Amino acid sequence: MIGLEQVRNRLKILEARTAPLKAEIDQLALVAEPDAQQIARFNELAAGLQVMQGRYLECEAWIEMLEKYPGVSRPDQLPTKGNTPAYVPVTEKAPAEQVERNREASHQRDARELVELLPAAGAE
Amino acid sequence: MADAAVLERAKRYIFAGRNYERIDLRGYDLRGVNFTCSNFRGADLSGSDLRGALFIGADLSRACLQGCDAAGADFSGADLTGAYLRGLNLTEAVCWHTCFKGALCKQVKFHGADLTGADIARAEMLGARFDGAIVTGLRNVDRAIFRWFLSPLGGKPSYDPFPGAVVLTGSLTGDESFRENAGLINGLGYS
Repeated sequence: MIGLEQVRNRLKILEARTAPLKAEIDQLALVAEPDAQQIARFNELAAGLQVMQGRYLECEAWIEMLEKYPGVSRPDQLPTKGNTPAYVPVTEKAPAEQVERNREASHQRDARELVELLPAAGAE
Repeated sequence: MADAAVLERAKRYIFAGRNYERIDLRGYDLRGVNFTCSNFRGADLSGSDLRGALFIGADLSRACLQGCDAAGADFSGADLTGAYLRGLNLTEAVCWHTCFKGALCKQVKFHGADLTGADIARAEMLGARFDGAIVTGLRNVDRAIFRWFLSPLGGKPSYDPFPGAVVLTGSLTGDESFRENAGLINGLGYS
């Protein structure tokens, strides 16, 4: 199981790794007339930072989820009606007209997608 | 009428230490019957009325108690390892040091039950509720399953949260027996 502390540590590591790259790219951005090597390095750093930004967002999503649903490790955290929302099953059926309308719309959408996939008649 | 009289008389007997392995007792009225230290391994008691029954030290491993009403029953020291307890009502039941290891306890009502020292390791507790239960010394709480996390893209349910997951805190099929993860297995083309 992935723990909250592990993800937070990963986030710290990512921040530590990103800082020097950011400093370097900021320096390169200040160069008035960069040579080919500097441009290549700038592009490389920009791509790398983009990837790291994705990982950063991923870590934040993990932290959000783990904070929202903490593990049950103690008896006082056991689910009760108070702390856990009740699941209400959908028992009412949708009206027949709506079902028919939805089905028709679905068929039309499928047909349109199929038409788009097919090659145009006479097209070279 | 005669059956009712027989049943009333039977309730006064003590069925302690008996062997009821793999017995079919579905839908019976077993209120207040004393089954202390009896063997119910693999028995089917689904839908039975077990209110106030005594299963002290009984072996109910792999037994089926689906939809039973066991309010106020005594399962102290009973072994319910791998038992199928979906929709079981254990309101106000006494479960001192009861072993629920690997039991399927979906939608079980533990309201006001005394679970002192009970063991719920690997128990599937999806939809189980513990309102007012005495949970002092309840063992292996961190090893039981209380939630399912489903991926919107399909696949097997995860017991740990992950980004984008849909959380399930109760059984979708309620008290009905159904393989909830059917069709969620990758590689079969259903997901």
